[in-house]
Amino acid sequence: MRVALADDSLLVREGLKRVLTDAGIEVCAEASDAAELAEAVDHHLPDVVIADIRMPPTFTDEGIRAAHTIIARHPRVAVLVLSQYVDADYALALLEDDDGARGYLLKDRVLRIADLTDALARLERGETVVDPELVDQLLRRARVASPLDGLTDRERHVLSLMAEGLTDRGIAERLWLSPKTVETHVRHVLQKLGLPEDHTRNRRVQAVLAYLQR
Amino acid sequence: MTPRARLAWFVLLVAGPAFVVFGELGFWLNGIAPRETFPLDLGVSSLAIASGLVLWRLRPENRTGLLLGVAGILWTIGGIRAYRNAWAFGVGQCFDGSQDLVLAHLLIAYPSGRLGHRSLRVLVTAGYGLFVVGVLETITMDLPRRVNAFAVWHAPALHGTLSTIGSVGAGMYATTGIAIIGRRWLRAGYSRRRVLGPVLLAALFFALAVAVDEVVQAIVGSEPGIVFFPPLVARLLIPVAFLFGLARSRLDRLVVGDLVLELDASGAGTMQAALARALHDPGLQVGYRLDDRDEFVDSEGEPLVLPVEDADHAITYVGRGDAQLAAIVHERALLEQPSLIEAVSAAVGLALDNERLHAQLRNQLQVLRASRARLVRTADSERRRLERDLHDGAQQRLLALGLALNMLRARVEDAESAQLLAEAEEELATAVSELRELARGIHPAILTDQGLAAAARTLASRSAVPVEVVVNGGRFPPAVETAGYYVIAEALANVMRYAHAGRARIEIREAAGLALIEVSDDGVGGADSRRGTGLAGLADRVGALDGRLVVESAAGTGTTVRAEIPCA
Repeated sequence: MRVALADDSLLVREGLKRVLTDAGIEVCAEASDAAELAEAVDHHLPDVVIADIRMPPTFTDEGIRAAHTIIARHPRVAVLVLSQYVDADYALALLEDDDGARGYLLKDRVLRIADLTDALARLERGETVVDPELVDQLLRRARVASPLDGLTDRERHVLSLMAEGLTDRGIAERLWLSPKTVETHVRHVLQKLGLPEDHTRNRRVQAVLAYLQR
Repeated sequence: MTPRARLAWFVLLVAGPAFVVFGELGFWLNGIAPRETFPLDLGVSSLAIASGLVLWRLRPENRTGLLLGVAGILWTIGGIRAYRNAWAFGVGQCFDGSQDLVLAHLLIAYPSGRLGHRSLRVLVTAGYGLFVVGVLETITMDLPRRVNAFAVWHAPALHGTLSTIGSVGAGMYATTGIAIIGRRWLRAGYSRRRVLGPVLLAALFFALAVAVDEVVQAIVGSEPGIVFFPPLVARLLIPVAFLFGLARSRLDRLVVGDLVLELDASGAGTMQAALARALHDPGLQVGYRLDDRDEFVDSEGEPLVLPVEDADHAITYVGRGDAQLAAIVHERALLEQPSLIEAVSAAVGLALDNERLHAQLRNQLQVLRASRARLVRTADSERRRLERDLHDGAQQRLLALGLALNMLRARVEDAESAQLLAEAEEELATAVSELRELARGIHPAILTDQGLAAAARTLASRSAVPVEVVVNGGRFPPAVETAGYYVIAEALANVMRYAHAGRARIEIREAAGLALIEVSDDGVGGADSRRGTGLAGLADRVGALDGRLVVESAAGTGTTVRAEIPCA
């Protein structure tokens, strides 16, 4: 797997590069801001781009905007945006378009290298990745009587994995269930929440996140 | 009083009336003028002398009064022609009409009494030249010397020419007078017209009447026994106008008494309007001097830069003793009534000082408010900077350190060391997470990045009580958003701590230039902004932005905390 790195902190960039290289992932390009990154992507066409959300010049959501630009030009390049704090608005902004593989992780995740490589692998397969901490926050949120109350524990678990961006197959693997069972759970969850059932990839994740954020 | 002034007084007081009686009797006795005009003649001369005396007494430094008195006396001299004495006839004939020259002089010099501009001095001097023409006319008159003692040069043709020169000269003089006075009227401001109006109008009428008189005489010719009335009436109107002006300024000073009552009855901030009314100057401005500083503020305490004195505006400083309390910016014309300004200043002294203290207090309040706002802004930007430094510095370094530990662990073969390194990594991950929370507490990055609405949703999602977030409108200025954030955070914390609420609601909207940030719950109520230091601190923060914090919390009806902050 070939990865391009974008972070305005040289320290983090270097550390990440070494860790990824150690894990057998090739870092083919590095950039310190969005413009450099776009150039590097055009030039190296990596499988996945890892970009910090806060980059020069405004240090707000450059990472997300860079992701949209990159995917528009190179639909097969996956983009993982690392965020200093998790926020549903950012995740939804990132997942706005259905095409391309997009991931949104808390930056601290890089310290758990297994989580990071797992996310990269999923992105390379074209899946969507949403940080479990964000999903957890959204699910834990206090609510006045909500259809969420009508979910079984298993359905709730399935819902959170849907929100993290896992495919039915991924959920089946994670929960040691047959894909058929997962499919049923997913259908029940969508029905109970009143969400359309034909969602694929980004769109399903986006719908679930938006629902949870309400 | 100087000896010269005393002599002049004597002449006007004693000789004046004597002359009037003497001269007017002459008119009466011999019918030089028709008998019907006698009361008018007597009226003109005595009124002119009387009002001249009054004016002179009030304003000894102004020559207007003196000139008016002299004009009155000259008017009567013509009358002595009737005493059937060659010398009296000669003198009377010489001075006939000379009063108009003096009247013209004083009207052109009005109101200062001085002929400021060179061209005016030349004009008036030329005007007095007409007196010389009159004397020459008398000398060349076709009369025997037993009738006219001055008839020393028998030259009828020259006399005719001189007559024409006198008439044309008088007509031109009057026309020029109309132009000068008309221009003065047009250029006068409101207050100036009010003060100078009566005399200027009388002067205009006078000049017009004389000019028309000369034209009529030139066309019809002068007929003995036929008198053109308008000039006579105009001459009468001049002293009347002066007396009217005097009476009115006396009345204006009476109004000053009302002013004091008015100021007593009304509250602070009305001084300027009251003074504008009393001094008849709608554009009048009052500046209050700050203690120990040479700076002035208006009644609201806003700094006021006094205008530069110019042709239209003057500044009168009002004070007690050496202390300057206030500056009154007014129309320059008011300077012509110094006694009025003095009376007003004296009358409003105490109220003015009072109002000045009010203005000063307001000014201090403003300065204080500005400094409080500055302090809050500085603290906020410091917090933002600190958060950025933590993120860009410490957090990135810790992440890099964690990555290094991770690599190290992969290279260590000793199981115990690997275990220790794993623990260290675990600690580090916790430290990074805690540091993130710390940075968020110092200043939430989401507030800067995405605004108050997003930050409010994050706060809501962390609340143990269900919170509905309703947002209407876009982003507010950073200071307003920061204050709004702390209001929401504190109010939500209170909901969790005290309210026993089932649900809460955050509403953010903009209305009429105000950012309205409201947190309400359905709990037990009874919150008091004075009890909890949290709410008091919020009120300070909101107040620093000129906003206000409203807490509605009757027992049993829930609590609503609302911040209203100007955001336009």
